[in-house]
Amino acid sequence: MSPRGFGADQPTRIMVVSCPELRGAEQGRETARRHERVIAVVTGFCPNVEVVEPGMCAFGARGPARYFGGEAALAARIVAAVAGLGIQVRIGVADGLFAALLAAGAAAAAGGGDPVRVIPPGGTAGFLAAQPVSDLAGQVLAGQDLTALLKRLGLGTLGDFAALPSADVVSRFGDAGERAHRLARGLDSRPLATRPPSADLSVAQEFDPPEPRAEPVAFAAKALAGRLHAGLAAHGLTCVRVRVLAVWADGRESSRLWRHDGLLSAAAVADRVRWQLDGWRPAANNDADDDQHAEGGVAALRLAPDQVARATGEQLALWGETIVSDQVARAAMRVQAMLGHQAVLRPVPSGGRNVHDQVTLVPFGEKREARLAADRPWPGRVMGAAPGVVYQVVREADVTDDAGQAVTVSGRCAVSAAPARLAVRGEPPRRVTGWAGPWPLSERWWDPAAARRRARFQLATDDGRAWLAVVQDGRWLVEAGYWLGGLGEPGGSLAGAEAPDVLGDGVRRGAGIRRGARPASAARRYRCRRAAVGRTALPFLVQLPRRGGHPRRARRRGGSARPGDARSHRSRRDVRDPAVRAGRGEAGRPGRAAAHGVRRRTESRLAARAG
Amino acid sequence: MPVASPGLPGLPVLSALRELLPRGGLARGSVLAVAEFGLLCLALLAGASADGGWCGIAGIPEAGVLAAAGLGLDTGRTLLVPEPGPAWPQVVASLLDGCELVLVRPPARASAQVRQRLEATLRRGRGVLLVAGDWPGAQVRLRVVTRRWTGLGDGHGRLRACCAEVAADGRGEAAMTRTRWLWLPAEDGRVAVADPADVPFDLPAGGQPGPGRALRAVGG
Repeated sequence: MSPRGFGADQPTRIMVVSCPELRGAEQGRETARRHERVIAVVTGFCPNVEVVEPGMCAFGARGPARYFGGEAALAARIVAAVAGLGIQVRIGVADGLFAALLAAGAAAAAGGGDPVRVIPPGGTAGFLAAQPVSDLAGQVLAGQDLTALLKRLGLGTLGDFAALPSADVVSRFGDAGERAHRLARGLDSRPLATRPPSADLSVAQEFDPPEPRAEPVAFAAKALAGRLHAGLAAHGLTCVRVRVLAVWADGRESSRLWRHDGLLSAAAVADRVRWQLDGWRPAANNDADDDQHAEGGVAALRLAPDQVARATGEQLALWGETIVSDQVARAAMRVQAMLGHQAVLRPVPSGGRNVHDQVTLVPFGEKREARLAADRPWPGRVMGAAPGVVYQVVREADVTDDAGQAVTVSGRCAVSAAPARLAVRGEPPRRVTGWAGPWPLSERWWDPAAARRRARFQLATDDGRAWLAVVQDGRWLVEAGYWLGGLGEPGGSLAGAEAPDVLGDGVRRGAGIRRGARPASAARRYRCRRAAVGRTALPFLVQLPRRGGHPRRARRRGGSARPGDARSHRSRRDVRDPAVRAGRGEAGRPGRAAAHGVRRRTESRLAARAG
Repeated sequence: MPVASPGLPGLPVLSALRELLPRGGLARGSVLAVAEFGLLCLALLAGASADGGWCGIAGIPEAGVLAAAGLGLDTGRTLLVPEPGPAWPQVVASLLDGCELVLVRPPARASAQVRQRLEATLRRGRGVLLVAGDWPGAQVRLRVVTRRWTGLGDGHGRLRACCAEVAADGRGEAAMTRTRWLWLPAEDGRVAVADPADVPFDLPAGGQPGPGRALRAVGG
């Protein structure tokens, strides 16, 4: 809404810079590059520029015009500056964006003559009145139809249209008509939405020669993170995540996003860089023995803020939120460094009708939000006990009746026969001993692409398991299983008398246990069999992180990675720095104090490395 | 196998499971093995989680978190690593640094060397490793001897509760086999000790409801 709309004394002067050759051109990379250079030049005259459409930008002209000695002088300077790029521009100045756009278009249409058209203050209404109504076409919704209609009504110019009473225009042409009418009268429908130019806040460092070891890179990362934080703070900004990009000497790149939220110190960012490099190495050269590796080291490291937001400070929750202790966060982030950000998840109970939907998995470090609200009724969800096993991918199954015919469910939810056998794909068939259903579920019937009609069943089988199965499009799918685990041999192979016998003597086996009521005998049998389980030692190289940190670092300190020296009766060597030991001792409680301890440890270790 | 930090009390378990375990809890630094993943594993996690400990679940993408939450697991203090991959021993060791109780189903058979190293890591820390699978050196092994769901009929009803006989044995203190009848889960979703007079296994094979029983047994 322009200030003029509210009877303000001064109309808004808008300058539009139009590049005809870039507007019509194919929107390729070259066009975008040239367009960006034009915008950069215009930004040199006025920092707040709105890009109206490709090849056309606008800004408020009052301030720059006063500085540069008038609108015509400013326009001439811009024309000259952009001509230096080899691009011709047309400039229009008027009260309001719409009139300025038309003025720039008029300047372009003049061709060869003056590339600048300045409509003097107060002259905008007169200028607009002479323009054809077809200029409204691109400005409002369904503008083509509207202008065609106006022409058929005999309203050839904007002046004719503007002369109509606005109440009549609204009643006849509706909302879009009203907006067009306001434009025709010289009232802009909205103020200019300019944005300040985005500063490049990323920081980078190159390593020449490439750095083969992780520690110097992590140390450089600490200094880089300091610069990144200083740059963000200078703009009053914070970033949600930080992207760490490491370029190796052979050209490969390792890029990963780390949660930041303005909470990480420079040392914590350096830690993440080291984890990322450590996580990258084993995959790259599994057989190489030490830090020296084939790809020749890190050539460049770049930290770029992602999702920059205004810094509003942080307030820790007083209660209600589970506080993630430093120890847990470190453990989770170490796994994330090994396997990626998405590998460590935290479950959030959610709403939804399907067992899959009822838990949202959120990567560790991100906000725990349920995808579907849990406090809604969700009619049609599975009632009763929740399944202990929820398959990530539904498993196909065949359900047959006594005669061996597949059990089907009709459109009216009638079952063809009682299910008698359940054969989950890849497993032997089981006999069904109890079943319930079908419970129909019709989801998103209003959306043909996502509509699903299903019928749910609960099936109990003779091996003591129970299953949640659905019939969809005539196929049986097993979504989840209800069972307790641990039936039979702990050796993994379910062979022998304890194995779930299929369709055979399940009743008799169960009867034996039932009638005997001597559970000890079953256990005795089980113990005897367990003695036969042999131990095999397979050669498998494994490095486990020690308590002192990563095994690689521990070994460099002179510690041994052999498991032998970790016997319980020998006192553990404290590999931490004295400062940390003192910090831990004085802190004595988890929380913020521990966080400082961790930070100090990392910093002192880095300092020691550098020295 | 000597277990470290004897001074520390063990991790608590749900009260219904207490009688199955030596000293009524999970000894810190020990390994428990359950033959197959299922509700029993989740029930063992629930006790420690309700007490304020963090739990990690590695290598079990199909873990039913909702069922675990019903048993008492605090989902806010649970970390899931569904696909630890071939580096699972490192992942488990890292999780044991932050979590008191880690449930893992090894994607491959654990070699003796891997087992020894993980056990050494365990003894250094305060955690407990719960293995869904084979682990020859486990201090305690749990298994479900028999089980039966109640509540399902022929085309009617719904799954309500499961009665199971759980047996525990192992090494040292746990060498004596302990067997208990449990409702896992009971009708309210929690774990309860089943009264032997109440278990559905005493019913004749026809499954006629007894005088004191509203539920009908299914399963063979």
